[in-house]
Order: sequence, then structure tokens, then C-alpha cells
Amino acid sequence: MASMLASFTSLLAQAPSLQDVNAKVDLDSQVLLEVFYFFTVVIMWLIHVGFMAYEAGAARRKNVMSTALKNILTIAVVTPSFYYFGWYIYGCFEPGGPAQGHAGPEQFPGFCGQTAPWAAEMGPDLQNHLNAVFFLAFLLFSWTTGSIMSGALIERVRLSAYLILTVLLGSAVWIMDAAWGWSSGGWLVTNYGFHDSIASLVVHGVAGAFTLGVLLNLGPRIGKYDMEGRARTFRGHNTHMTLLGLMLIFTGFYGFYAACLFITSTSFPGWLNIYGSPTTLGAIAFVITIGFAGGFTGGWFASKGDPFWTLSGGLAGVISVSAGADVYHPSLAYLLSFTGGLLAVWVGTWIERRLRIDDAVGAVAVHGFCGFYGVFLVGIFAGGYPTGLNNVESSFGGQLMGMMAFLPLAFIPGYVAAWLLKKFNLLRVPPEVELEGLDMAEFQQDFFPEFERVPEGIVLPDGQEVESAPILLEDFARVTNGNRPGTRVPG
Amino acid sequence: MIDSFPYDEWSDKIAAFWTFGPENSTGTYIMTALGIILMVASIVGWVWLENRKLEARQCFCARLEACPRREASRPARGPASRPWRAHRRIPESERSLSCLVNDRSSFHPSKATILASGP
Repeated sequence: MASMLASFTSLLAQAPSLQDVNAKVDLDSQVLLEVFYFFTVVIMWLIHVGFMAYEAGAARRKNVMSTALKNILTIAVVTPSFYYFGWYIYGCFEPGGPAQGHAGPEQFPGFCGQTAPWAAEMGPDLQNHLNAVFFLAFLLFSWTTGSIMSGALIERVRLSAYLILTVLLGSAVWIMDAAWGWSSGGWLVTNYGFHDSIASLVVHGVAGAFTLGVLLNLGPRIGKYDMEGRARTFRGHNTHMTLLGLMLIFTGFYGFYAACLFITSTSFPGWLNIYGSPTTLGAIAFVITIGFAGGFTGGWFASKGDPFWTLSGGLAGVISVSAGADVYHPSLAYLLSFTGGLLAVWVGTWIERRLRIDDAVGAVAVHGFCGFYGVFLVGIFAGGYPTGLNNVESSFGGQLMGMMAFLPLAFIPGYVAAWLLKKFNLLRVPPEVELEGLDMAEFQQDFFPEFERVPEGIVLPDGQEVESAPILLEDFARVTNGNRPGTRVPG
Repeated sequence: MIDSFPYDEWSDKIAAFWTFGPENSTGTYIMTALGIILMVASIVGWVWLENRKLEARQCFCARLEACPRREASRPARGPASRPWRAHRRIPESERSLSCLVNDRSSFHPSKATILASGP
């Protein structure tokens, strides 16, 4: 008996204290969050694989590689610029402008100070498992904003102009609006209860509005509109590749959505959205999935079965319900995403035919319009939900405030930057190069060398598909002779 | 045994280690400045190089008189390049059309045909 008591006492003496156990559990919790964010980043790479395939497939054969390389080089320019400037903007601009200190929760004191490139938290800091992967998740969002814009500009924008614009959008504009409306301490959140939990507006809507500003300066592709201003349609060289790209984007979206949440079980009871409000990963995944279903359905019916717009409708549907994905009932998400799919097709057609803006992939309608629409819907269907540090109830007025803040924040920089590039003749490729195809000028080669070249086709406003060369040459002559009609075709 | 390793001791040392000194040191500022310089220089380089390529190609296609000697058709380096193309000379008479419609094998304005449901 005495020996048993001695053994028991000895075991007790070796047992870790409650404090030690807490420290280990806390470390495990941090590592779990680190691993979670790491894999969301891995999955989100698929978004960029998808954007590359999507846009390259939508381009004509002569522009395939210049289109694809644009997506790849997005990574080359946005990554360093977001590291040196963008992350600091997110950490320090929550009150609207740069500020000392941070209005975040006590669990993250001094977040602003942790976002500078020379901060310990941006390196191999064994005391902090969160910041580096959190940074990477946001970086992937930044790439996404650039990729949203890139598709709209294909086949006539200069690669270098696009890279400058994407740095501005990905490392300054979108992350500024994220600081204002997509953080628990942002001024729109703490003052107005602005609620956009999975980034309908702060990523998609803002990228779409920025893109609209660029497109107004860039102008349509040669041959896009006839003399009466009616839209012709270019045939993408590989629609299968475009649809595969969209499916990859959808797969990556699951990583995107998951990365909008976080969990540290020792600090919080469960999953939290970006505002620190409780939700579940399952609810988010449910809303995305049924959002695709509703969006595909809406896109199919609005476009009368067009494959491109059916899949784009799925994207539009998800974007329409993203803002309220943490609170929507799945049936509500299904209904709303259906309307999003419908509206994206109608708005895209209206932009192309009435506004005569040549958005090659419908980015302004799908991302821009549906991004704003998603935030608008939260004001109607999720009003009263407590948001942010101050638990300010979300409201229609608060959502409108966010929309009014973000529209000029995104549109004006896009318009002004594109206007400046245009003034320096650095925005658009020369018309001769545009007609020949960007691949020949940029890379001096055709990227389908074993395939016979067939005449390029174009679909007229009345639906006839004809050889494009005479139409392009005629429009080229107008462009190169001061846009005067009836000019003799060169050659 | 792995659990007997002096992890805490290592942890402290490793956390204090930084390639160019601890955080907020001169070394980290210098590295940051160099990185920003590289980033800006690469963007300027992209603008310059692309502009040169586009101007040369435009000149080649439009048969302008003042073309730079450096041909736009010089291939890029790398396994995807096709060096034979650099030496393939397009006859002067074909230049404009061959560039502008990128359809050397079949295009002639008079051959514009209705492909689908045209008359």
C-alpha cells in the first residue's frame, strides 16, 4: 500500500501542470489553423489554373499564349507588391487612413505593426504560426482580383499595362476596401455593420468596377462592332478549355470560401467569419454548392442554353450569395443564386450591346454587378445580423454605405490609371499587332505549330458566321485612318 | 529520444535568428529596399521590352520606312522557341496581308466565304 501511494505521488509529481497542458493545446490549435490556411492556399491555386485555362480558351488562336502568360505573370508582380505594401494597407488602414495601433480584438494586439515587411511575424517566427499563412491566403485573394480583370481585357491590352493595373488593383485598391469593410475593425463594419462575409463586393464587385474603368479607356477589339454599333462575336479557340477552366475555378472556390473563416479553438468556441462572428464551415460549403446549382440554372435559362453563360451563371450565382453565406438558409441561397445567374446574363448582354463595352468574358457583369448585388441582398435578407467588434446590426443602409464607398474606390483608380497609360500610348497594342495576333509579336511563334491554320471566323449580329479577315481589315482601316468609314483597305 | 531534445532552448535561439539581423534592424530595411527596387525595375523592364517588341513588329507589318534593324521576328530563348522562324523571310509583297490577318495559307480578300448559314 505504501509503495502504491509512493508510485502515485511520484506520477503526480511528473504530471504536467494545467498551465503546461494549456500551452500545448494552444500550440496545437495554432498549428491546426496554420495547416488549415496552408491547404486553402493550395486549393486556391486552382482558381488561377482555372483563370488561365478559361481565358486562353476564350482567346483566338493567335492570342493564346499572351493571354495565358498574363495570368501567370500576375503572380510575379502582385506577390512582391502585396508583400511590400498591400499587407501593410490591410493591417493599418482600418480607420480609413493609416493609423497607429489597431482596433482589432485583444487576441491580435498591434496587428498593424505585424504587417510591415521587416516585422518578425513576416518571417520564420516560431512564436507566431498564423500571420504568414494568413498573409498567403490574402495574397491569393489579391491574385484573384487581378485575374478577374485580366479576362475582360484580352486580345488587345499590353501585357505590361495589365501588370501595372493588376498591381494597383491587387496590392492597393482591393486590400484598401478589405481593410475598410472586410475586417472586424474596419470603419464600415464598426460604424455601419457592413456585412460581406465571403467577399461578394470586396473581391468580386471591386475587381469588376475597376475593370469597367479600364475597359472604358481600352476600347473594343478591332472588328467587335459594325458601323451601326451592333456587336459581333469572336469565336474562342477552345470552348472546352474555357469550361474546364471555369470548373477549376469552382473547385478553387471551396478553398477561397474556407480561407474566409478561421478557427482557434482555445480562443474561440468554433469557426468564425472574417468579422469574428460565429458560423460553421459546413454552412458555408452548403451555400456555395447550392449557389452553383441555382446559378447554373439561371444562367442556362437566361442564355437559352449557351454553355459559356451557363457556367458563368454558376459563378454569378455563388458571388450573389457570398456576402450572406454565413447566415443564409440553403433554400434562400438557391433562390437568390438563381436570380444572380439570370441577371448576370442579362446585364452582360446589356453591357455588350447597349453600352458597347467589349468585355471579352463578361467579367463586369458576373463579378462586378453580382458582387454589388450580393451585398445589396444582405441588406434585404440578413438585416439585423450583428457584425464586427461592436456587434452593429447589418442593415440596408449600411450595405448601401459600403456600396457607395467601394464603387468610386474601385472605379476611379481603374479609370485614371488606364487613362494615363493610354495617354502615354502604353495601354493597347498597335492595331497591326492586334490583327496579326499578340503571340507573334510577343513570342514570335504560333503555339499550335502542327495544326493547319483555318480561316478565322466571326459571328455577325444576325447570327451568321463568316470569315473574319475582310471585316477585320475594314475595321483596321477605319481605326488607322482616324475612324473614318469607307477607307480603302490596305494591301 | 525525440522528447528529450532541448526544443525550448533551440526555439529561443531560432526565433532570435534572422538572416540579416533581428526585426526592425538595418539589415532587414536594406533587404526590403533591395526587394522593392527589383520589383519596380522589373515592371519598368516589362514596359520597355514589350514596347520595343511591339514597335518593331508594327513596323515590320506596316512596311514603314524607319524600321529598326533589330527584327521583331527574332525568337525568344527557350525550348518553346522555333529558331527557324527567325530566318523565314516573308516576301515584301505579302507582308501587310500576311501580318494583318495571320492566315498565310488561305486568305485572299476575294475568297472571303460564308462559313455557316450565309447565302
